[in-house]
Amino acid sequence: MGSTTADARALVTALRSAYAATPIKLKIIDLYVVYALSTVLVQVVYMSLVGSFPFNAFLSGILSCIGSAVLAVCLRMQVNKENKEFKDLPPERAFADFVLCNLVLHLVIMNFLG
Amino acid sequence: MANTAPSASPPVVAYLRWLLLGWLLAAVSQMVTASTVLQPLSDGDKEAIAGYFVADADGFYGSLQETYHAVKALEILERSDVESQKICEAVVKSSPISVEDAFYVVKITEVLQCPQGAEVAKVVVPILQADVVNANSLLELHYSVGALATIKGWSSNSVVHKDALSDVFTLLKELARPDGTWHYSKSDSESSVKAAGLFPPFSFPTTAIVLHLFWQSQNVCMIACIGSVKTAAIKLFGNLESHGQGVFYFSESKDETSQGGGALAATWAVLRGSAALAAVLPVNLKVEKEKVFGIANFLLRTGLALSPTEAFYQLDSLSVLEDYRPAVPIIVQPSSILSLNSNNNLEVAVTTVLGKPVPQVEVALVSAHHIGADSPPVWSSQNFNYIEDSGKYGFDFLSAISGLGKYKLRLEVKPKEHSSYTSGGLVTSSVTVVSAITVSNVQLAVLDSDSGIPDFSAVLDFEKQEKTSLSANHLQKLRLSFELTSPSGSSFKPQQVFLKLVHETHVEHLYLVKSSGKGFELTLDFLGLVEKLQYLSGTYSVVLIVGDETMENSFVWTLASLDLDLPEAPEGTALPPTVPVEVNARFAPKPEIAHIFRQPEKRPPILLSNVFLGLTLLPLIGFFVGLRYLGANIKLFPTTGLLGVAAFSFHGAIASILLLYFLFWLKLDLFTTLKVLGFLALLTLLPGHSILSYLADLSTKQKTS
Repeated sequence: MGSTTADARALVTALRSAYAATPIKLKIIDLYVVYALSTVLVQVVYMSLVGSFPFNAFLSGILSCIGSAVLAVCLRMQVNKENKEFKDLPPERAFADFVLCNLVLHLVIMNFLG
Repeated sequence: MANTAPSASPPVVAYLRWLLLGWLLAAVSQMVTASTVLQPLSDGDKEAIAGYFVADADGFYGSLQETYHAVKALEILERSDVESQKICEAVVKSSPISVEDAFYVVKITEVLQCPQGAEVAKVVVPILQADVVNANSLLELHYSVGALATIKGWSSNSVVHKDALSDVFTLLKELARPDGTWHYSKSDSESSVKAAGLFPPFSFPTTAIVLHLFWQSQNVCMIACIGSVKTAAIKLFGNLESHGQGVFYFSESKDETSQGGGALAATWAVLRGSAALAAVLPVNLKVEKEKVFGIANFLLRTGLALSPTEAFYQLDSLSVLEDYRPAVPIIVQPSSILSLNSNNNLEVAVTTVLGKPVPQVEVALVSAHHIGADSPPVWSSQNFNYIEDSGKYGFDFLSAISGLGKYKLRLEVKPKEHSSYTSGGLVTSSVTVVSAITVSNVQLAVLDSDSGIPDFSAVLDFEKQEKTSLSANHLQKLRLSFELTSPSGSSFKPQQVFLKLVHETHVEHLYLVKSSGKGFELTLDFLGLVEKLQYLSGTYSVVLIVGDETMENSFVWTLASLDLDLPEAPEGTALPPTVPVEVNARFAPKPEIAHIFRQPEKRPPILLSNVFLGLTLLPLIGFFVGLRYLGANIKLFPTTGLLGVAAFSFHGAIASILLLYFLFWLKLDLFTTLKVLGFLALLTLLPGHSILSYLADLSTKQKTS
């Protein structure tokens, strides 16, 4: 029992130090994702309290947050210099894609919000 | 006597091809498929027809023509409520201008026998004499000559000159065409394609009158004229149209010069004309008797006239037929029901078409057969006896009859002396012989289901219509038996034998009582009927219904009041609601339906919603705090120069798009949004492209350096 807690603590410390090494841009994107997901959580808690009427508004709110989070993750993948897959893609291009996709996503959810 | 002079025009053949009016045909066909025994005009019908003619304030019944129709019709109906004095005075004062008005003025004066005849004649004669000379159409000729003939003798200056008469006759001949049709007027002579000749019937009264006048003035034309006219009249009757089942009529063509009125008017015109001719000609007009009877058939079967004009045509035609020289149709009506109990005679009423009795005929029964039985005739070749002062002929039919049922009669009517009556050949009808049936040995019993031993039994007397009371439960049976005897002693099988159980809530159940052996028997097993009776316990009345065509005393007899005890309905069986027999309930207002609207959904309390709105915005604040913590900055943001403009406009455009989305959510529709979005996207694209490409160049420079 003592070893597992010690192991867990060691794991967390290792993660923390490794994470500190990531560039600030990526940390900003991670923060954005956390923000989106926490908003989802608040909405789900609210829904569980009052019921899911009107359902379309609920879906629209949740999808907005989750969609934004997903797009942010995509952006992080593309911008990350250590990612060999997107070596040739300039980060500005990725950012432009991100902006465009966000705008389309928000148009759709605004329509669905009703 | 029908010889034509060699120099005369070819025999005028009046061929009519008149078209039908559909409704009349329908009315006739409806009547024809009904009884085959013809009825004269009944008193009820006469009352109804008289009701058509309503006089207005000055005694008139509308126009002059309508007034003439009315007074003539009311005279035929023998009504005395015509204000003849008023009408006579008004008619004298009226100054007719046209020959048609003059004609009707004269006719009204004739019918009402006005004392002012001489004054009337003085007024109209000039008009009529002028028209006789100038007439160029059949109708005008009809009016003028007809009126002149009527007023002959009323005053001294009404003599029509010989020359005028021969002019008239020449005109008549002119209007006749070689192919048999007649022109309507002289100006019509070129149009030979109009094959339908019109108003030849009107020419007959005219011709008759002219002949009469000729006769008096002893003109030479007589013999030749008579011959041709007679041939024409007989050929006219050849155009009689038949509607089957012995109905004959003249139909009318639909030309613009026709006066309307349909087959009724055409038939009336022919009858009036031929009657006038027959009165004048020295020899009898030979018309087939069946055709005359067919016309009577048509007139009586058209049903009630629909307008005063039709009523007039119908009545006047019937009054012509009452003493029609070729043949007078008579109507034979035998009685339709004879009772063995009262043992009365078979009576036959013989009347004219208007209902007057005809005593000068001999009625004979040719044969009488029992319908349904293939036996020889019951009677053959028997004579009826005239019953004084009643217009009926009687015969003791029942003396050879023993069985009940329907008998088919064939009667023959022969006129005595020289009178020319026609009954349209043999008259067939049927008579039903009925009798009272004896009901005997009526037994009502309640039996025990298993053993068959009656717990209760009663014998009921039919004469006294006895009623008893019994009680039963679902384990028992009800049995009814009785016998029916006809007067000949054999058992009688009626058409309807039913037993009815009526609950106090008016629910009824009918059961057929079947014949067994000598009588009838029915057993109701309540065990099997519990469900059919809908588990209703209570008081039922037991009713016996017996009926038949040949049964004089068909009855509905309440035999008993039954107290029936049935078990309760089991759980779950949906009993159908007991039906109230009240017929009017169907038309009473139905129960009102209260509409329940859909309840709106329950929404959470506003406070809770607002709290969570705050909670949703909390992560945003957390995001900015986190950004601060991370040390993110916008130091590289270009503020001056073109880049600054581009940067600001890029971010501004994105912000404006978001604002557009917000407005879209609030009130805009998709189409407007998309239009504006397209514009704003362009606005975003240009600065965005420039600033991002600048940043890309910057980063590549940094890489290379």
